Amino acid sequence: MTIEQAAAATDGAARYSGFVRNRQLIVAALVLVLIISFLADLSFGPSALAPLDALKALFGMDGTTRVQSVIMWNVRLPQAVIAVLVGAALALAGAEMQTILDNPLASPFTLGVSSAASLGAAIALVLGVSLPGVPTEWLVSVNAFIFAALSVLLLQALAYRPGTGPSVLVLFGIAMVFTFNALVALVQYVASEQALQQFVFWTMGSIAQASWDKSIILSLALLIAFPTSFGARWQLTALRLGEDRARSFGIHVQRLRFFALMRVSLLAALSVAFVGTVGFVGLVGPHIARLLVGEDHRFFLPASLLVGAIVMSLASLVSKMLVPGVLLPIGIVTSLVGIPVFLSLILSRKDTL
Amino acid sequence: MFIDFRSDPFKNTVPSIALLGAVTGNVETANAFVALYNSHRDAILARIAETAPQRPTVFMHMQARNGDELMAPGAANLGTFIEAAGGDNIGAGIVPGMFGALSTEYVLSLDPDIYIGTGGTHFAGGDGVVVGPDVSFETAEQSLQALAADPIISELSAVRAGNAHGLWHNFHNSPLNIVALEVLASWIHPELFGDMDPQATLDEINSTFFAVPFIGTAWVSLPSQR
Repeated sequence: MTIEQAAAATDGAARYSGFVRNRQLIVAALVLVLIISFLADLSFGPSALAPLDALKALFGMDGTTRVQSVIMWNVRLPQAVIAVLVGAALALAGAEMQTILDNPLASPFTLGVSSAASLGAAIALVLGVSLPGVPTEWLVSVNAFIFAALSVLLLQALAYRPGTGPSVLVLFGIAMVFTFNALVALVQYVASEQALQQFVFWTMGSIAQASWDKSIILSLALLIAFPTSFGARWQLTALRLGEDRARSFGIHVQRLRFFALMRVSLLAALSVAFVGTVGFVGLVGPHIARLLVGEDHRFFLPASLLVGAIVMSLASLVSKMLVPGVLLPIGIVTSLVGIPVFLSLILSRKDTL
Repeated sequence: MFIDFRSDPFKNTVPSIALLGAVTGNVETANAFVALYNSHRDAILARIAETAPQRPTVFMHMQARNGDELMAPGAANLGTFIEAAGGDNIGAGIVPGMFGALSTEYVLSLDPDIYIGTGGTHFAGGDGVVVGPDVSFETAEQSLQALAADPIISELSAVRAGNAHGLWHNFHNSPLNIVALEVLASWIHPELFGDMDPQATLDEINSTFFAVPFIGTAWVSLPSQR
């Protein structure tokens, strides 16, 4: 090895470790931003409770009234927690979908999972049909979950058919969107006014019915999904180089795709079942993450999860502040909060996505 | 022809009934109902105008069901009846349309003086207020008590003090709303309307106007209020 080559090698190693440190810093910064937005979400609300008193009430310090602690423990905290969890779950699901389908437009929303969940919810709300023995307050969630999970299983079945490439999956997903939307319209057509109102509200996405049960279930799903997808980070990164390249590395692409879709179905179906259709996070969370840390899934997966959580947390905060007193569905706000960030990121870059 | 018992029933019930009477050839019956309606309503309006009482805050929880959204009327529909009965409808200032979902924190921090949940037989077997035709008093009372145990609703001072009531939801879209107005008046200002007897009004409407009488429990209060 000549002196020049050795110098280039050490230079390359130094640049690589600089690259890694840079990405690690970005992920750490996202964690910090998430903590701040979560605390801000807890500190503000439509009541006159001052931010400092709010945090005092949360920790049960002296001088807290009963109503204040109910507001913190039964309203603000469950909503803030579920916002973070749903944002994280949807963005992680979107990130994996975009990678395994090799399509920047893939997300639980664009590939029919949300539409399927909507059909399930509509059937519960309008026709009152669900599995026997499901308590009424879980009816909508259970139906939405079943339909969403079934839609991903359909995608799965297709993915295992020989000769099916990612573009066929995407087109099939789009066909599902239109099919389920048409069926939803059909159910809406026969709905009573009251059921229709409830359903329309549901489709806007709301975290107002947050409960600890839902948060626990979603946390468990994330605890299963994130480590396993992070475990596949090298294979997923390799897949970004192209399916053939990934195969030449000895990666079983179909199996990788299968497990990724399983995780997607779990995360997306639960999120949509609990808060309704929140469309923006699953699509754009991963894009923001990719613009920040690139394609390396060591950083891309955690960054997607964090960006999704931040967007939802900020949306929760804004939805409370925009029209004090009235419940503004979070799904409306998510897009309006996320789009300026997203546009500024994509317009500041010259190259293609 | 256009009739309305829902968007602005306070203004439109009387003209709507008169119109229905005219087009169906029952002018006399319609006039009799309008006379009854006006005399009962004017009695309440006059007493409120005369005494100008303090207006207690009222949260009318439309379609009240455990763990559900906190829908409230704006300055429309039964919201107008709350104001007419001498109350202060907490949805009036902030709900833009006829009905809107209030944020839980807003309701909790405002802590209204009176809680009224509307419901109907469609909640039977669920966990909402069950009142309406063919509903027994016991069923209605039990359903209200179950609703009052909701983790959020149970924290309202009104509910803790027993000042919580259930009302038939379909009053929001029926000329029977005159009965609801009397019920609301007796809940919001018991000191002024202790003599009010909405059941007698309902009985009178039943016997004078209805081929099929309304029999059942259309309103109910927590036991401590009786």
